[in-house]
Amino acid sequence: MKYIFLIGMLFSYAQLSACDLCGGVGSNASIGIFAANQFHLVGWRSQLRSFDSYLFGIKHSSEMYWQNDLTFRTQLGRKVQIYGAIPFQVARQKTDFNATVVQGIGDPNVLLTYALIDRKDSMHVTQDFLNIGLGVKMPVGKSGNYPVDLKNLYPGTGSWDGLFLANYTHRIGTRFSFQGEASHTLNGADQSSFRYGNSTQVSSVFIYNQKVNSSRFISSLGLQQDWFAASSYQGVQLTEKANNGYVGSVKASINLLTYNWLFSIQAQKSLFQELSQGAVQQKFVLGLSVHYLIKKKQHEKNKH
Amino acid sequence: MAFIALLSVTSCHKGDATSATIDIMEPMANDTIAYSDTVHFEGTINGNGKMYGYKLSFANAFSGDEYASFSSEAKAKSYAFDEHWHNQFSDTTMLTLKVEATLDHNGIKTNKYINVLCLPQ
Repeated sequence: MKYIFLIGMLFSYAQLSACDLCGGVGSNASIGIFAANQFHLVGWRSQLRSFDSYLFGIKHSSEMYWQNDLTFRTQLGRKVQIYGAIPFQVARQKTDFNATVVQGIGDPNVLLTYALIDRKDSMHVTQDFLNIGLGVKMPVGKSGNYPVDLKNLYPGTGSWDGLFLANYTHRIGTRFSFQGEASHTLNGADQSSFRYGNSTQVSSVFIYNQKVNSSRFISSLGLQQDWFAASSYQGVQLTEKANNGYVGSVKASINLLTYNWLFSIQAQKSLFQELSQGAVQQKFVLGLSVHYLIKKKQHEKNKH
Repeated sequence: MAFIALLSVTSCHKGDATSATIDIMEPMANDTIAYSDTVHFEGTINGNGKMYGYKLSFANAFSGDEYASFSSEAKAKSYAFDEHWHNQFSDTTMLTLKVEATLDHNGIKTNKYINVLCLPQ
């Protein structure tokens, strides 16, 4: 049963967006439902984000972002976890006249989390789990220069960014659990003193899991809200195309755990939004991921 | 029979535009553009029906020589455009910025233009 609960924590996991509001919006950050698990983890995650951009209220362009991440997660001791990701992104903007494609390595990120609460029942099944985290995104990816380039299309932001997050999971009965998560990103400035505004994200999901033969299906349904502060250039806050605003979304995922492999499909659709004074509209977010779970060696278990 | 066939080909498609309003938001007419500055050509085209594309051009106001142009055949009732031209003229030049919309499937067009003065280095 412990295993069931822990695996039930597995679908979104560490994600720092390389571009906060790229012609559109990326998720802020999430360690998601793997928070209470003590497996090591390596994997690949792919995400497609689609946006429309408007000029004077008329559709002017469409943007599509395809981001792929090599990810890992490792457990240091009983309470400390390290997450990391190296992204590669392909972005395409299509206007009436032409299409522009920008691709390259994004900014890698590392996140350190600490389990503040880890309450188990007599069967050693986790009942309540609270994780807090601190992360950093490093500006080593390909980034554009504002205002010359279409900066929002680039995979990197060119800035050091910091992340703070808290993630709480509560088990409800044998098959359900609830998770709430909040995160805040502090964005730095790039070499030309362009700075994306800070962003905040809160989300809550209900998780359901069911065993089928030797596999396990885990599904989730929840809500997410993102806020983005306005970007600034050379210390002055932008008033037009400032990447600021909010998005409220519904999100869902289906996951299959079989042997040591976890396959996941995620979808997100905005319910309401106001981005860059209505100049940008998020259409949908789709995700696909494959992770391999590495069981802890016996001597690692014995340490705990 | 040939006459009927011809009529069917040349007759109006239902929903095609018969007129369009072209608004040029930037630049203002007769603006002066310094050397190395960028001309932002922004505006909208709103038809009273479906249109069949549009063209933006940057041309010499006196000779008509076209320095750059952008064409689209996208069908829509409205368009928004935002293109740029970098002033690197070696002589003072009057530049014509022109918007031309294709109103219907027969290629009937409407246009609007403004002039700006580009200064050399």
